[in-house]
Amino acid sequence: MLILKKILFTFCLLVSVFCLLPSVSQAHKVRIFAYSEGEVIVGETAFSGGRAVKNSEIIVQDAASDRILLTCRTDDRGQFQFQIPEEAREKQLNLRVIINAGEGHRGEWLLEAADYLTNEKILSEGKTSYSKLISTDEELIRRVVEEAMDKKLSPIKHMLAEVMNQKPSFQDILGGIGYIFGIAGIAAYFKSKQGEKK
Amino acid sequence: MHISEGILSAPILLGGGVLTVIGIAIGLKKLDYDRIMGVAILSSTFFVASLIHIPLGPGSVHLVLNGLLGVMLGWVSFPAIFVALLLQAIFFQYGGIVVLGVNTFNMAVPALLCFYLLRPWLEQSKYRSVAGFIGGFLSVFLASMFMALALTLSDSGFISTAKIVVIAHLPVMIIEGFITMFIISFLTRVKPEILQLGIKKLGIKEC
Repeated sequence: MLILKKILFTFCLLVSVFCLLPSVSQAHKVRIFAYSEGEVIVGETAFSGGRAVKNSEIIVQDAASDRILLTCRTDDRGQFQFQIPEEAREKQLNLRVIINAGEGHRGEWLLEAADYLTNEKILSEGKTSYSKLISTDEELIRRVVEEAMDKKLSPIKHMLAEVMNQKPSFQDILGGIGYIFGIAGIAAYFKSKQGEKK
Repeated sequence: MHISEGILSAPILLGGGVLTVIGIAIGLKKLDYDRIMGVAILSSTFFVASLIHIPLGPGSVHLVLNGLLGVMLGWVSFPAIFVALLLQAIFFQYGGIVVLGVNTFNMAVPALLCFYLLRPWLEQSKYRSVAGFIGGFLSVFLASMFMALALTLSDSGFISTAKIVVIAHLPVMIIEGFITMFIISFLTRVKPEILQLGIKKLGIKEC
């Protein structure tokens, strides 16, 4: 009994020591989510447990060529923002936003050009003739509506991203166990075939 | 413990993949018909263990249990760990399909080393619990080292990476040591045949 007590004591001691250790990341994956708010792109990151990814590197790439357009860092709440690069706006590039949290943790989010570009181009061209003026008005309304929609939708987008990144559910876990037993069944089947041949 | 997609360089991914395929082939060859279900149970245990997070201090940890699989399965832990990791990658995007080879290698090789190192100790009841603890501890430690090595070969300096990874996993190592110890001692009391202890000495004839 004495030995058991000693072991228990050491165990508790060690656990309490590790509780005091500086924060260490322990997660399977990092989630990242980005959307445009007018002229800037804002985003947020978190580990799968829900903790923010503090002060980590964000890399923005052109999705087609993998060329790095800019880098920035997340703040204490795991959020970041950056101006839309001129080049990306001009060439209508799809942006790949990557979070690198170190120790093998990495996540990415694809932000398509259509998601962050507004219709300024069409708007400036539209003023040349009367016939186009009507369409300009249409474009103007469309743009205003889109902006309003963006604002209204961003929390919903945010919610969706969170829903998509939920922890594995009980059903998922049971499903996984089921799969493993299924695979074992297949293995058993083939092993038994081998036995018959012999 | 899972390395994400898109971090490691191509040679590492390829090397890990090839070694894992070899390991799985040997494992499947060594797998007896009678043990398939036992292996599936352990594979499920491994699959579930990584999903359950225990809050500890500022973060949370999860068990790996590759040591337990190692001492109980030996080479067969390769296919067992592979299947569990594959399902985790497909279902939950932990790790990924491309890095599956490296991730399997990182966890299965320590398991295998524990098997060869600790099996003789496990046979003796005097050292059994110590061997169980070391199995749990060492397997996670080695897995962290392999992970650091894989990251290093693609990226930054080894010592700094290894330090971070090992420190991050220290609590897991200790908890896992105790858990493996308790499971082993529990099994020897309740269902010793599952551990297949003393089979080499006794031989099947005497059974």
